[in-house]
Amino acid sequence: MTLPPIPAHDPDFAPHPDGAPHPDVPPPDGDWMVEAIDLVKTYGEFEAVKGLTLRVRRGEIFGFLGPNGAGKTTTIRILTGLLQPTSGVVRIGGHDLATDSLAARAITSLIPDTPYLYDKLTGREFIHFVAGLYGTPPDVAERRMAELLDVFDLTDRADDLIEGYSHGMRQKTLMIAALVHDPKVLFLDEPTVGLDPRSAKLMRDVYRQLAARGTTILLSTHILEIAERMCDRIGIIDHGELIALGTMDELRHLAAHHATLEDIFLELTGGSAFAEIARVLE
Amino acid sequence: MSVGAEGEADETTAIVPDGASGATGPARRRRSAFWWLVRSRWTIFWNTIARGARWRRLTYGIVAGGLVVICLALGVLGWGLTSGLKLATTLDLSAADIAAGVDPRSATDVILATAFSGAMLLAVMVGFTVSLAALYLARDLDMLLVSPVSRRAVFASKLLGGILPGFLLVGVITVLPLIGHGMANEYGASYWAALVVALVLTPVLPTAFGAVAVVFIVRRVPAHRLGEIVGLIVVAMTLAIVLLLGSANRLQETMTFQQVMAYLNRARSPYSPAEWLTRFLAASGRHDTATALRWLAINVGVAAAALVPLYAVSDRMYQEGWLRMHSANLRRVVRRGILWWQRPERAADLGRPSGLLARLPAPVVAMIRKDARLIPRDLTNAAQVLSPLAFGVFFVIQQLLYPLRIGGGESGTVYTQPVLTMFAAFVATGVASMVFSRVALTGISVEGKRWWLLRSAPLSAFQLVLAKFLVAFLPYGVLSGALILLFEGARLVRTAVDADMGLVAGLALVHVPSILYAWFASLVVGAGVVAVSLAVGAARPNLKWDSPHEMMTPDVGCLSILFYGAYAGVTSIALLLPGAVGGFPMLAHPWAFWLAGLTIGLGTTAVVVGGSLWLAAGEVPFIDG
Repeated sequence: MTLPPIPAHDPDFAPHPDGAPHPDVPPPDGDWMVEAIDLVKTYGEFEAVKGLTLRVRRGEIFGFLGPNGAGKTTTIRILTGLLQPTSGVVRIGGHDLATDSLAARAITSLIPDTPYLYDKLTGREFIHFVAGLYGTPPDVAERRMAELLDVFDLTDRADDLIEGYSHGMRQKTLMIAALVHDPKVLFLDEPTVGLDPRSAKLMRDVYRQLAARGTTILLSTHILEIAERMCDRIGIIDHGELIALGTMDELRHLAAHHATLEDIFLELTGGSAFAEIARVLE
Repeated sequence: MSVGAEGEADETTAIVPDGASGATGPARRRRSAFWWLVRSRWTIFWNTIARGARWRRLTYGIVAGGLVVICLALGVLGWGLTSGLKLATTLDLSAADIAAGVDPRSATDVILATAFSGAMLLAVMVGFTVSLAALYLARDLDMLLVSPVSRRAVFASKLLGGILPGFLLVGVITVLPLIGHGMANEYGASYWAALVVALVLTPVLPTAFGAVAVVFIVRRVPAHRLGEIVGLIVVAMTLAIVLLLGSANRLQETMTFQQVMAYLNRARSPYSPAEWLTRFLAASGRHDTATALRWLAINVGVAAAALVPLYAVSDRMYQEGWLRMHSANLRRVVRRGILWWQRPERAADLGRPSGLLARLPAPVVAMIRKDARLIPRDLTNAAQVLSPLAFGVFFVIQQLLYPLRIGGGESGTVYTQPVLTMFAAFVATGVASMVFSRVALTGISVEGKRWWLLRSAPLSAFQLVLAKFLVAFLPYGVLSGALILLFEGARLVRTAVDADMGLVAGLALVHVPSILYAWFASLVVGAGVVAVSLAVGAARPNLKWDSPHEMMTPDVGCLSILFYGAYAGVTSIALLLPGAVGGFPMLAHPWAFWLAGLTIGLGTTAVVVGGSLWLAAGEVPFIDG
C-alpha cells in the first residue's frame, strides 16, 4: 500500500509530488544544516539510493527509518563524505560536500553502528587524536574531554587501552570523541546498538540536550520507539526512496487508522510480509 | 538443549551430524562429531584453493613447486652425505674394528639425528604457534564452543589441524634426505617401514607439548597477546637460524667435513626426542629389533603421556581458557610501562604540533603521532620488519669479523675509504628501504575498519598522504643514518684492531663529509622508495584485514618491490657513484660527474616523490572503507 504524500508541516517546506521536500525551495533563513538534493547512488545495475531529497534544520533531530537494505547507511555514508554519490548535491551547513568538503566535514561528526577504534590507543589518546584531526586546541579538548568522560562515567578507564573496552564503552568513547570538537551536525547510525538500557537512556538525554543547544542530529535506527520518542521529524526510506517524511503527528494524521509508528512503518515498508512470517512461525 | 559449564551436557545431548543419533553412546557421538569437523575443515581448505582467486592458486602452485625442488635437493644431499661419511668411516676402520664387527653405517646416524633435530626444531616453532591459533584464535571457535558439539571433539579436531602443518614441514625437511640415507646405507624393508612410523611420530611430540604449553599458558596470559609474543619469538628464532646458516660458509673454511660431523655427533643428546627417533630408525635399519622397539616405546609413551591426560581434561581446560580469553577483554588492560612518548599523560601531544612537527597542520601531526604509538605497540608490526633488520645486523657482524677490503686491506686510504662508505650507505639504504617500504605499503590498509574516521574528518587527501609518507620516512631517516654509522663504525673498529691502532687513531679514519653525503643520498633514495610504496598501497588497499601479513597481498608486494627497486637502483647509483669515485685522479672533470649524478638522482626523486604522492592523493577519495 502506498500512502499519499505527506503535507509539509512548515510553510517553507513545500510538498514535492513524491512526498519529499521540493529541492528548489530555498532555505528559510539559512537554517538548513543538512541538504541532500536528488541523491543517486548506483553500484553497477543496482540503485542503492534513488533520487533522495531531504533537508534537516538546525537543532532538529531527524530520524531515518527503513528496513534492512533500504539505503539508510548508504545515505548516511554519502552525507558524511564516506561515499561519493553517483549524482546529486549534498550541503552541510551551506558547504557543498563536493566542492567545499573540508569545511563541511569540519562541522560534522559521525558515530557508526559498529565502533571500530584503534585497540592499541588508550581512550584518552583516541579522543585527543580525533580532536587533533578536527584541529581542536589540546587544552580545549582536554577540558571538554574531562567533562564528557565524567558524564559518560569513563574517567577511571580513560587511560586503559581500548582493546580492553566493552562494546558499550567503545560506543561511549566514540561519542566523546565525536563531541569533543563541538560539531554542528551529528550523524548517528544505529546509535543505541549494543548499549545497556541505562547507557541508551543517557545517550538519548545527551542527544536531546545537544539538539536543544542547536546541534542538528540525523540518526538512522531500527528501533521505532527511539524514533517516536526522540525525533522531531522522521523520514522512511525503502528501496532507496524516501517514501514518507514528517513529524509523528503528520505521519499519524496521514495514516489515521494507525496509532503507532510501528504500524505506519510496517504498512509503508511491506507489513504483509511480516504478517506472513508471523503466520508461518505460528 | 544446554551446554553445561563442565561439559557434561554435551556428552548426552551432542548433535550427531551424520544422523546416527539415538543409536550410539557419547564416545561414538564424539567420534562422529570429530570426523564431521575434520571434513568441514577439509572442505573449507579445498574451497580456498579450488575456488580462490587466480593469483592465490598461482601462489600455492609456486610454493608447492618450490617445496618439490627443496625436497629433491635435500634428498640428494642426504644420499651424498651418507655415502661420503660411510666411505670415509670404512676407510678409517682398523683391522681390529673390522674383526670386532663394527658397522661403518653407525657413523652415519648423525645424518638421521641432524635431520630429525631440524624437523623437530621447526615443528616446535610452528607447533606452538599453530596450536595457539587452532585451539584459541580460530574464528569459528565461538560458534563451535557454544553449539551442542562435544568440546573434546572440537579440541581434537583443532589439535589435528595444528599437527598437520607439522607433518608438512617434517615431510619437506626429512622424507627425501632419509630416503637418500636409507638408499646409501642399503637398508632393507624394516628401515622403510620404520621410516613411515618415525615420520608420523616426529611432529606429534612437539605439537603435543606445544598444545599442553598453550593450554596452560592461556590460563595466565590472554591468547591474543600470547600470539603476538610468540610470533615475535618465532621470527627472532628464524632469523637466528638464517644468521647461523649464513655463517656456515665461513665454518667450512676452518673445519673439515669430518670435523663438522664429529661436532654434530657431540651435540646429540640421549634426552632429545630427535635422538630417540634416530635410535629407533637406525636400529630398525640394522635389524636390531629389540633396540628399535625400546626406542619406539619411549617415543610413543612420552607422546601418549602428554596427549592422553590433556585429552582427558581438555573439556574443562579448553572451556576455562576460552572463557578466560573472553573475560580478558573485560579486565583492565593498562599499559604504563611503555616508551616514554607513549605514556597516557602525553596523550594531549597527539593533537599538538610541536618539535620537528611544529610547522605541520594539526591533523597531519595527529596522524603521525597516532601511528608512532600504534605501530610499536602491536608486536605483529614488529615481527614484519625484523627480517629486513636481520640483514643489517648480519652486515654489522660481517664488518666486525670479515671487513670489506679493497686493494689488499688498505681500507683507510683516501681513495678506497669513500668507496667503502658509499657501499655501506648502499646497504643501509637497502635495509631501511625494505623495512619502511612495508610500513608505507600498508600505511592506508593498516587503518582497516577505522578508515571511516579519517574520511569523515576534515583531513584532505593530500594531508592524509603526507602524514602516511612522514610516518614511514622520518624513522627511515633515523634508521638509515644509524645503520651507516654502525657499518662504518664496525669496519673502522676492525681496521684499527688489525692495524694495532689506538681508538683515537682509529677515529681519525672517519671521514665525516663522506658519511654526511652518504646519509643525504640515502635520505633522497628513501624518500622515493617510501613514496612509491605508499602510492602502490593506496592504489590497492585492503581494509578488510586486521593483520599486516594479510594486508599485503603478493601482487601488491611484488609491484612495490618492482617499482621501488627500479627507482632505487637508478638513483642509488646516480647519487652514490660520484661520492665513491668522485675523488679518483683519473677523472678529468669530476664536477661534471657530480653534476650528472646529482641531477639524475635529485631530478628522478623529485618526479617520483611528487608523482607518487599526487597519485596516492588521487586514489584516497575512491577508497571505500
